[in-house]
Parts: sequence; C-alpha cells; structure tokens
Amino acid sequence: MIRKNLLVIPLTLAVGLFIASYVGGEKNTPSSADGPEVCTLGHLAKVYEAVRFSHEMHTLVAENCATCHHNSEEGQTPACTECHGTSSGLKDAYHGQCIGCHKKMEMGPVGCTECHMKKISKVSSGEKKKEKGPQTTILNRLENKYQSVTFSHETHSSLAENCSECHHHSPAGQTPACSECHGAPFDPQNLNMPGLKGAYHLQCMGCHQDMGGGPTGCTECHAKKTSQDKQGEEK
Amino acid sequence: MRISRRKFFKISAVTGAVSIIGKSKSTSVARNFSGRPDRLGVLTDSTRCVGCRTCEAACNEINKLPKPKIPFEDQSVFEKERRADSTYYTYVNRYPHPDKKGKWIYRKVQCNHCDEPACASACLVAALKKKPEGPVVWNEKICIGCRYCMTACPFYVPAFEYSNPYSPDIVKCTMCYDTRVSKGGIPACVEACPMEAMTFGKRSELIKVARKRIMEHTDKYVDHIYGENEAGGTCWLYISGVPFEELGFPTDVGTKPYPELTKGFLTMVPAVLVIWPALLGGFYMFTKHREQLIEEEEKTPEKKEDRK
Repeated sequence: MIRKNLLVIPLTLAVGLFIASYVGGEKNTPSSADGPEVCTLGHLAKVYEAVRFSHEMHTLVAENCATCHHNSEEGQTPACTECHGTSSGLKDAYHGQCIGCHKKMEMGPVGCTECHMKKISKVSSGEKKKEKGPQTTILNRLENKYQSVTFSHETHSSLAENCSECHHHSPAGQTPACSECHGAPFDPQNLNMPGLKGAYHLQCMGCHQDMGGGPTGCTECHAKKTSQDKQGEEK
Repeated sequence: MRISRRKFFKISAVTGAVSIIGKSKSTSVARNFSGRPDRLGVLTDSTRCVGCRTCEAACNEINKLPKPKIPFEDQSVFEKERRADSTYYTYVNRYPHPDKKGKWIYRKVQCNHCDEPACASACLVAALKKKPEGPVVWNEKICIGCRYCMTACPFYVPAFEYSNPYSPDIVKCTMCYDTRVSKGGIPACVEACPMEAMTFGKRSELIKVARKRIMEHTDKYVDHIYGENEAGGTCWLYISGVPFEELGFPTDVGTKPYPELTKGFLTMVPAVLVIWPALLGGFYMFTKHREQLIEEEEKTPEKKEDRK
C-alpha cells in the first residue's frame, strides 16, 4: 500500500507543473497616449498650407517617446524647435526625421506635396467662367438597368468656388474628366484610389451631404428603367 | 516512507521528463501573426456607408440565398438591430450618431475572417478552415451542426439553421471564396458597394491604407483599426468616425488569439494519454512484481536456506 501511495506525490507534482506552465501573464504593452493630438506646423504659412501632423497617431506607432524626441534627457519631450532653431536647421531636422522614418518603415508621406499642400489663391486659378466646361453631362454607363444620370455642370460650376473643388488632385487650372484618373477599383498598386463608381458617389454624395442639399438617395439620380422604357429603346 | 535510491531517481526522472515535455510543446503563438503574408482582406470604412444595402443584395444573389421578407430597398428593416441568421450571410445595422442628432451611422456585419479563427479551432470535424488566401470557409457536407463554433466565435458570427429539423448546419460569410476570390476575383459585396466603403486587397496593404486615411483626416476618423489586433488579428478591418462601441462592435474581444487559450493543453492530451499510462503502468507492474517476489521469499524461507 505504501508503494502505491508513493506515486501520488510525483503525479501531483507533474500535474501541478503541467498546469503551471500554461498559466502565464500577458505582456503589458506600454501605452504612450501622452502629448498633443495634432500639431499644426505653419512655419511656411505664406506659401504653403500648414502641415498637419498627427501626434496622436505617431505615439501609437512609435515604441517610445525618444524615438522622435531623440537626444534628450530621459522622460523629456522637447519640441523640435527647442534644439533645432527656427530656420534651415529646423527644416533639415523635420525632413531628416520624418521622411527618414517614413522611408525606413515604408509607410507615410515622402513626396513634397504630400505634406505641403500649395495654397490655392482664389484669384489666380479657377476663375468662375460660366462658359467654360459643358453645360450638362450625361453619365450613362449603367444604361441597361437605369436611366442615364443628368449632371448639370453649369449649376455646379456656379455653386463651386473654383474648379478644383471637384476636379481635385490635378495641376492648377486643369479640369480632367473623372474617368481620366479613376478607373477600375482596388488596384493593388494604389488601393486608396477609388474606382470610377466610388469616386462619383463619394464626391457627389459627399458634397451633397456636407452642403445639406442635393440628391443623396439612389433613385434620385438613377431612375429605374421600366419595361416600357426598355421596349422603347429596342425599337 | 522508505524508497530505494534507484526508485527515487526513477520517479524524479519521469516527473521531470513529463513536465519538460509539457513546457517545450507550449509554444506561444506570436502576437503579430506572421504566417501567410500575402493573405487578402477587406477594409470597411464606416464613414462611407450610407445603409443602401446593395452589399446585402449582392451577397444574396451570389450565394443563392432565399429572397428576404423585407426587400432590400426597404429601410424599415433598420428599426430592429439584427443578429446573425441562417437566411443571410451579412447584414447592415443602423445606429444613431452619438454627436450629430438625426444622423445615422451604419455597420456592416459579417464574418471577420480571423487570422487564427476560434471557430476553426473549436470545430470538432474540421468543417471550418482558414484558407491560405485569407478567408475562413466552411464545408456544409462535413458540418454536423454541433454549434461549438457559435460558442467559440467572439463576434457572434456563425448562424444556425434552426428551422431545419433533419440536418441543420451553420452558415456564414465565406468572403466569396469559392465563387470569386479563389479565382482571383473580389467579393460580391465589395464590388457592389456604390460608395466603395469597402476596399479589397492584401491585408498588409490595407493596414497601410487605413493608417493613411486616419492620418490624413485625423478629425474624421477614430484612431484605431478594428481588426488589426482584435482576437489576434482579423482579415476584415474597420475604420470608423465614431467610437466602435457606438456602432455595436464588441470591444471586449481582447488581442489574444482564441486558439491560444486551448492549443497548448489540447496538443498535449494525446502525448499524455500515451506516455503516462505506459510509464505509470510500467511502474505499477515493476513494483507489483517486486512485492510478489518479496512475498514469495517470506513464505518459503526454508527453501532459500537449503539452496545455500
């Protein structure tokens, strides 16, 4: 009887160690949500729109504060201008630190105008000219199911402050058609660029929602084709 | 208690061996899932969703699901917060905007195609499988309708065919794997959405797109990609303009992949069931044999003396 009881002790030990090996604590990732949310860098306010830098987003991406607030005492987070001055030294510091990290991480803006949007002066570009551009545009890509969409270019050009409000992301003064840039969606090389359908809806409905006017429902633009319409077309 | 030195060494060796085996097999799963780097996913931008339900209609068509009682154009379906049902694989729910009165926000719900799916881990018959391309698919022929996956899923996704008395199965979104994705296409709901609220591509690229959108419009989005780390990472990601609780997202899911909770223990079960009986049975036989010999010796001491 004694010999059988002897086995209970190592058995209990083994089971206990077994269970203990799986009970582990989770590593606590340090949260670094301190500091300002967004920094607006307006040193070149005369020529360019201010650079919007999301400090909040970067605190989540960086391992700790010193990744950006480098070469400073532990726990200290001095502003960039405190050490790098306010002129060309500061510019090199910004570009070196920001673009350098974006290149290393392969994410984030590296081009000039990706951060520095040029200020559009309302006098020079996009003067309101009612004669310019078509009066009405017919959009009939879905003509087998829906009536074509009639888009009054004239109305919109008188409502918009300048051409680039709709003809966005294009060189100043140019008004490319939507389909020139927006083609098939989900291009792996350019995932953030919507396809033509998405571009139309996001631009048109987006503005209508923001302005509080204009069609936002589906059939307000796309009138369904009745069977009578279809018969008429076949003839 | 008296044990011989040999016996003591044997017992401690066995104990040590078993506990070491236990530790070496409990490889903890990496927090950043590194397998299948090219896996595909979908990014849903909730700020673009207008609740038109074109995605539901497209899903219904491509999966040949029964026509719904409330047609897709009818907005009255939003009056009730829907749950997973066996007649649809995806559904859109409407919630009031927390800040802007009178404005609605929408959430499209479907399987999140987790990187390490709890459902696939829980499935008794391996009817649910994570495909290398990303989607988690299910095989209705293998499914036995035990509903373990329903218990396991942290997002309450699998829907059970309660109305089928003979062979009920679970159903869920497959990211159109059989019909489209496996052939290089894109899921039907993603293609159908007029606002391009969903973007289809490699998950790694989608994370970058999401971060870019959040960074470029910090006042428009909440700084969090739902699905990046939830439940160990999912292939269906979300970004939103309001805190995710306002859209009905379960926010207590945690970042640990669910299979990790049981994987270590379960992989040890077959090893333990083989090794322990063999070793301990061997011990028992050994000690029993010795006891027998001792008993025999005690019974017949005269014979031993004769031998001498």
